Amino acid sequence: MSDVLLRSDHLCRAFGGVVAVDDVSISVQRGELLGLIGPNGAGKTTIIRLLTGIQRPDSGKVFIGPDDVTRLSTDRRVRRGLALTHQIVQPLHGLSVLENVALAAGQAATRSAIASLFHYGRGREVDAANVILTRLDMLAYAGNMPDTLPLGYLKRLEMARALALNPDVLLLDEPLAGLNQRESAILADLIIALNADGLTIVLVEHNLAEVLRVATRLLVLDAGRVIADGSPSEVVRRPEVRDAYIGQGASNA
Amino acid sequence: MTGYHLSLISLTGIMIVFAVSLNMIMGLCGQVSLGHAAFYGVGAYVTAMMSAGGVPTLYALPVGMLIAGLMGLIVGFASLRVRDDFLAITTLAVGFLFVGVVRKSRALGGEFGISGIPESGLGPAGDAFLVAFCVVLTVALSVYLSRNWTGLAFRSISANEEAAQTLGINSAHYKLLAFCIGCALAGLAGGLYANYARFIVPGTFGFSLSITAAAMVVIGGIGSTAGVVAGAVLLTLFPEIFRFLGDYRMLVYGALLVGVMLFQPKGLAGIPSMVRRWAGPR
Ligand SMILES: Nc1ncnc2c1ncn2[C@@H]1O[C@H](COP(=O)(O)OP(=O)(O)O)[C@@H](O)[C@H]1O
Ligand SMILES: [Mg+2]
Repeated sequence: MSDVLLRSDHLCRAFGGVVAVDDVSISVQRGELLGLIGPNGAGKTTIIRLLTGIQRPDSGKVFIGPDDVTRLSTDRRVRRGLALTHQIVQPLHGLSVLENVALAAGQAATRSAIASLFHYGRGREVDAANVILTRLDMLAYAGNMPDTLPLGYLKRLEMARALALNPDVLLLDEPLAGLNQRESAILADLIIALNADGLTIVLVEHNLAEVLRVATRLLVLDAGRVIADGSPSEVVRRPEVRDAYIGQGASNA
Repeated sequence: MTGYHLSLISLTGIMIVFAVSLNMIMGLCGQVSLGHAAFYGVGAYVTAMMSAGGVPTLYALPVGMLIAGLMGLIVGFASLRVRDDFLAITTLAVGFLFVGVVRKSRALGGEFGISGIPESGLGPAGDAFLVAFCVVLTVALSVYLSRNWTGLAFRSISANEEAAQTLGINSAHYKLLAFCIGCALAGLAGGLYANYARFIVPGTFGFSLSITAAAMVVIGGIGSTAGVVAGAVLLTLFPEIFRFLGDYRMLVYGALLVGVMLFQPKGLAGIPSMVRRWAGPR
C-alpha cells in the first residue's frame, strides 16, 4: 500500500528545554483510521499542530501526498485537503454556529480575498452546513452563538466545521474529551461511519477503549517519540506500551 | 439653511466617511489602528496639491484615494510582521511619522501647509452633494462588506485568527485588503476635507484626529455601520454643541470613551436592543 496522503519526515520540535516531538516520521495511508495515543504530554497535539502548520518544526518535513508543504501556511494546507479539530475548542465568537460551519463550507468563496468581494449569496453553503449540523444532531442550535453552548456542543461544532471543509485527511485532537458517555458513543460511531465512507482519519484520543474500538492502526507516542506502530490489538500487548502507561492512571492514557 | 449649517453638514459627512473607513479595519476585521489620520492626510495633501496644480477636484479625489490605499497596503504589510499587541504602536508611529514628514517637507508647505486650494467649481450645493454622494457610497460599501463573504472572513479573523486559518482563510491577505480599502476611503475623506477647508496644515492630521475617529467607532459601536455613523455625527457636532466646555472637551471625550467601554461595549448601536430589553416583559 503506497497511497500515502500525509507524511512527516524526522519532525522535531522543542519548547524551551522540553522536547515535545522528537524525530517523528509517520505516514497516513488513504482510507485508514489511524489512532494516535500516548500519555499526557507525549506530544500528540504538537504533532497535529506541526502537520497542519499551526506550529513550525525545528527540523524535519511535512508532505501532503508527494508535495513538501513544510513551508506552507495552515490555510494553504487546509486547501490541500487537511482539516483538524482543536483539542481546546476554538469557536469563532461573534459568528453563529451556522455561520461557523458555512464559512468552512465556503472554501470557493473565500479562496481569494479580492475575489471574495464579489461573493455575496450563502445559500449553497448554508444548505451544506445544515446537512452537517443535522448529521451531528445540533441543527436546533444553528442560530446560537457559540458562547451560549456547553462544551459538548462546541466539541461537535469543531467536528462540523472540519467536515464542512470536505477534507481528504481529517485530524481529530481528542474529539470525545468532555462529552458524556452517550454523546461520546454517538460521535465515535460517526467517526467510524465517516471512515467507512472512505474518509482518512487521524484520531488522537485519550479514551483508550474508544480508540481500540475504532482504529484500524495504532501509533503510540511517549516523550515525543513513536514507541509502537501496528494493529491495535497487537500494539496494546507490547510491554513497552504498557510501561509507558504505568502510573498514568486509566483516564490519562 | 445658512452657510454655517451647510458647512457643518459637509464636515459631518466627511467625518462619517472617515469613521466608517476606520471601522472597516477596526470593526469588521478587528485590527487596531491608531494612526488613521495619516491616510486622511495623504488624501488631503494629494487632492490639495493636484487641485492647486490645476487638476479638477473630481479627478484629484480618486488619485488621493488610490495613493492612500497604497500607503495602507504598505502599513498593512508592516502589520503582518508585528505581533497583534504591537500593531497599535506601529500604527501610532505611522501617524506621527506622517505629520513629522509633512512638517519638514518644503514641497508640501511645511508647517504652513497648503492654502488657497482652488474651488471645485461645483458651487456650495454641488460640494455638499459630492460629500453626500461619498457618504452614501461608503455606507453602502460598508454594509455590503459586513454581509458578504469578505465580511464573514473578516469577522472570523477578528474573532480568532488561528481558528480562521484552520478554516482555509488566508488571514494575511484579508488583513491587507481591510487596510487597503479602509485607508483608501480615509484618503477620500481627506480629499473631501481639502476641498471643503481649502486650507490644510499638518497639525490637523495628527494624533488627536486619529483618536477622535477611534472614539467615533467605539462610541458608535465597533463593527456596526449604523452605530459608527451615529458616533461620527455625535462627535462631530459635539464640539459645536459643547463649545462652552472649551479645553475640557477632550476630558469629556475621554470620559465618554471609558464609560462606553465599561458600561455599553456595543456603543450607540447597542441602545435599541437595550431599550427593547427594558421595555419588554420582565
Ligand atoms: N506552546 C507550548 N509552549 C511550551 N510547551 C509546550 C507547548 N505546547 C506543548 N508544550 C509541551 O510539549 C509537550 C507535549 O505537549 P502536547 O503536544 O500538548 O502533548 P499531548 O497532546 O500528547 O498531551 C508537553 O510537555 C507540553 O508541556
Ligand atoms: Mg493534547
